[in-house]
Amino acid sequence: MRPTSSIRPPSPIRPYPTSRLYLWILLGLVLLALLLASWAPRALAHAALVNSEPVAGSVVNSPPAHVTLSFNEPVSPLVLRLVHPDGASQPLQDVEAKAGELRVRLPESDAQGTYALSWRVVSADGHPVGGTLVFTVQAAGAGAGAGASAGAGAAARPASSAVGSAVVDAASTGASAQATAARSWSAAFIWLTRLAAYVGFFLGIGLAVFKGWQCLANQPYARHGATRLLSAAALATVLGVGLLGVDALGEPLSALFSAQAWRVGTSTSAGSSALLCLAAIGLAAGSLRMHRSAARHVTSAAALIVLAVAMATSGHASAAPPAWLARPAVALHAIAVCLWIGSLFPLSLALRGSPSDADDIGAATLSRFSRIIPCVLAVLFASGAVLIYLQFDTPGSLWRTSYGWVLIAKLLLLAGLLALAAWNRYRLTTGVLRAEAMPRHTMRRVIRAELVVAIAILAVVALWRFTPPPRASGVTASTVEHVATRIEARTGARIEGASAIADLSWVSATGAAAGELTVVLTRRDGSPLEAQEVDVAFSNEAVGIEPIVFPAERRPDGVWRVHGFALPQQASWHIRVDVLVSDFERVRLQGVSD
Amino acid sequence: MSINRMGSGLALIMAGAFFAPPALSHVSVAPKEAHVGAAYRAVLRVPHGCKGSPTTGIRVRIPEGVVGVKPQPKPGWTLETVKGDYARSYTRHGAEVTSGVKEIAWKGGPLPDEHYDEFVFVTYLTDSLTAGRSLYFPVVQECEGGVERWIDVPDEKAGHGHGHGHDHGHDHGHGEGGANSHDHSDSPAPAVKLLPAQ
Repeated sequence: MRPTSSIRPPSPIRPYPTSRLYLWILLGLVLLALLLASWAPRALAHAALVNSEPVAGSVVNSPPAHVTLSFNEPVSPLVLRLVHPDGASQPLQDVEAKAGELRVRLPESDAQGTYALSWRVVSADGHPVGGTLVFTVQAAGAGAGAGASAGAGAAARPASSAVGSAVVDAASTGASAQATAARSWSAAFIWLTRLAAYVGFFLGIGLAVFKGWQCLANQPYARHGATRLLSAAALATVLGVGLLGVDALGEPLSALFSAQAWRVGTSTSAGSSALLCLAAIGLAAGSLRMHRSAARHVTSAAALIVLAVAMATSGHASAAPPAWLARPAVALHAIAVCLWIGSLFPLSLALRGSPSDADDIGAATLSRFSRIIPCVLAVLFASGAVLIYLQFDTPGSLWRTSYGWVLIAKLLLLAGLLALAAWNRYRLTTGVLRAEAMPRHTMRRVIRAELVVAIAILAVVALWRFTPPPRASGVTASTVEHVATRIEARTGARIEGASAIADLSWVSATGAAAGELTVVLTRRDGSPLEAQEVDVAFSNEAVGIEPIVFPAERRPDGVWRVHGFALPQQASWHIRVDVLVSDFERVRLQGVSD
Repeated sequence: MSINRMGSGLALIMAGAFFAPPALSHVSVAPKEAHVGAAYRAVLRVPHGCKGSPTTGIRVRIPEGVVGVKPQPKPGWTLETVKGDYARSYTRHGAEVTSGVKEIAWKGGPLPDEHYDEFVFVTYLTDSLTAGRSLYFPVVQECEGGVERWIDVPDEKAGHGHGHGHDHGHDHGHGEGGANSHDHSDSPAPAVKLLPAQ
C-alpha cells in the first residue's frame, strides 16, 4: 500500500494582520481602559485641614486676594477650583506649597455672595484628600439682619425659603445667559455623539454577530460596512467621554482640549461604560477578520456581552434599585436590541441577490432569522417591562415628566417598527421563502424603512441622558437607601433611608441676610429620632466641588440647625447627612437635590 | 523570552497592580480573616491621631456573637471594660454564658500622630456567626483635639458589585442619585472576614 502523500499546499501569504495580533491589540485596549478607569482619584482620609485664612464660613468685606490653607502635614496640590457666587467655577493655577501650607492666589473679582474654594491635595504618603472652603463676601454697610428669611420656624419655612430662593435666583440670572447658550450647544453635541455611538455599535456589533454566526458568505461589502460603522461608533464614544467632562464642568466646548474635562469624563460611570464600549467595538472588529468559525463565534459573542455590560454600567435605568434586577435587565435589553436592529442591515444584504442565483443565501438566512427573532423579541419586551416598572413609581409620571414623554415617544416608534416587522413576517416571508422575486424586493424596502424607524428610536432614546427619572434614586453602602425629590418653590430635600428620614430646608447666605439650614430627623414610623451629633455635607463631584461639611447644633425643640449657612449657587448638590445615634452607631443618609 | 511570553508577563504585572492593597491609613483590625467557632486574637492598629491630634483613648464595641473577651493591658494606659448581657446565651466549655464584656476602653497615652501603636484583645468567635460575612468592631478614637469614629458599616443588602475599581465611578450629577463614589465611607469600622469553622 502506498503511503498517502502528506504534502500540503503551502499556506497562502496573508496580506492582512492575523487574528493573534488583533487579540493582543484588544488586550492592550482593555488594559488601557482599566488603567484609565483607575486614574480617577479616590478619597482615603488622611491629611486634614487644620486652619484657613479666611476662616470657613466667615464673612469678609472684600474679595480676598489670597487664600491660605493650613494642613497638619506637608501636602501637594492636585486640583483647586473657585466657585463664584453665580455658580461658575474656574480652576486655580497659582498655588504655592510650603511645609503644610497652601497659598492660593484668587483671580480678581468683585462679585458679592458666597464663594467656595474646592481643594484636592495629596499627602506625603500618597493619599488624596479633598474639601471645600466656603466664605461670603459682603460689603460693609449693606443691610444685614433682614429677619424675614432667617425667621425659620418650622411653619414659616416654605415662605421664607421662597423668599430666599427668589433672592438667590435674581442674583444669578445676569451671569448665566451666555452660559446657557454654551450648554445647549454642548448638549446638542452630546446627543449627536450619543446617537452616532448607538447607531454605530448596535448596527456594527449586530452585523459582526450576524456575520459571525450566520456565515454571510464572505461578502466584503458587509465587512466594509461594519468597519465603517464600528469606527464611527468608536470615534463617537471617545468624543462623548470628553463632552461629558465638558458638560460636567460647565465649561465651553473649547475645554475639550484641556485634560481636566477628559479626566472628569473618564471618572464618571458613563466614562467607564464608554471604555467598555470601546472594548466591545474592538472585539467585534476582531471577529470580522477571523477565519475559523469557532473563533468568530467566540469573539462576536464576547463583543455582544461586553456591550451589554457597558450599557448596564451607567445610565438612569441601571441605577434604579434593586440593582440585581435593573442591571441584568438593561444588559438583556441591550443584547436583544443589538440582535434585532443589528440584523436588519445584514438581512437586507443577504436578500440582495436574485433567488435564482446559485449561491443565494437569502432564503436560508431569512428562515433562520425568523426562527430566532421571536425569542429575541420576547427578551426585549420582558426586560423593557421590568425597566419601566422599576423607573416609574406611579403611572402618572408617564405623562408628567420629560422622562415619561421620551418613553412614550419610544413606545410609539416601537409600535411602528413592530408593524413593519409584522408585515415582513406575515405577508412577505412565505413569498421570499418560495423564491419569488417581488416579495424579496418589497421586503428589502420594508427592512430599509425599519432601519430608519430604528435609528429614530435610538435618537429618541439618546435624549434620556438629559432627563432625570421620576425616581431619582441610588444605593449607598451605609445602612441606608435614599430617595430625594425636589418640591417646587422650596429649597429643600427629603432624604429617606431604611431606618430614618431627614427633612432638610435651607436658605443660603445672601448679601442681605445670614443663611440657615434646618434638619428634622424622624424614624420611619414617624417618631422623632434623637441624635448626639448631626453633620450635613454638600458636594458636587461632576463640577469638582469636594464635600462642604456643616456641623449642626441641636435646638431645644429637637430640630438641628446650621448657623451661618452659606452655599454657592449650583444646579444640583449631593447631600450627605451623618447622624450619630450613639457612640458606636452612625446613620448615613444621602440624596440629591436638583 | 519570546514576545508572547513578555506580553503575557507584562499583562499579568499590570493586572496585579490593580489589586494592590491600599496603604495603612485607617484604624483596622488584624488578622483580616478568622475562623468561626475558634479563638481570635484581635489587634487594633492605630496608625494616626485624629487629624493630627494625639490619641488619648481607644474604645471598641464587641459585636454580638463574640464571647470570652479579654483585653490586654497597656503600660501607660488605663483599661476599663463595660459588661452587659448578650442577646442570647452561648455554650462555652460546657457552661452557659449569657453576659460578658461588651465594650473595652483604653485611656491614657497620649499617642502622637507620628507614632503607631496596637491594642490587643483576645476573643472567641461563636458558631452563631455566619461564615462568609464580615464581622465589624466599631472603634471610637478619642484625641486631645477631637474624636474619630470608625463605625461605618456597609449595608449588606445593597449591591456592591459595581465592578469598577475601589471607590470611584461617580455617576453624572443630574438626577441619577450618584451613589457609587459615595458608597465607601471615609471612616469604616474595622472588619474581619469570617471563614468556616475548621
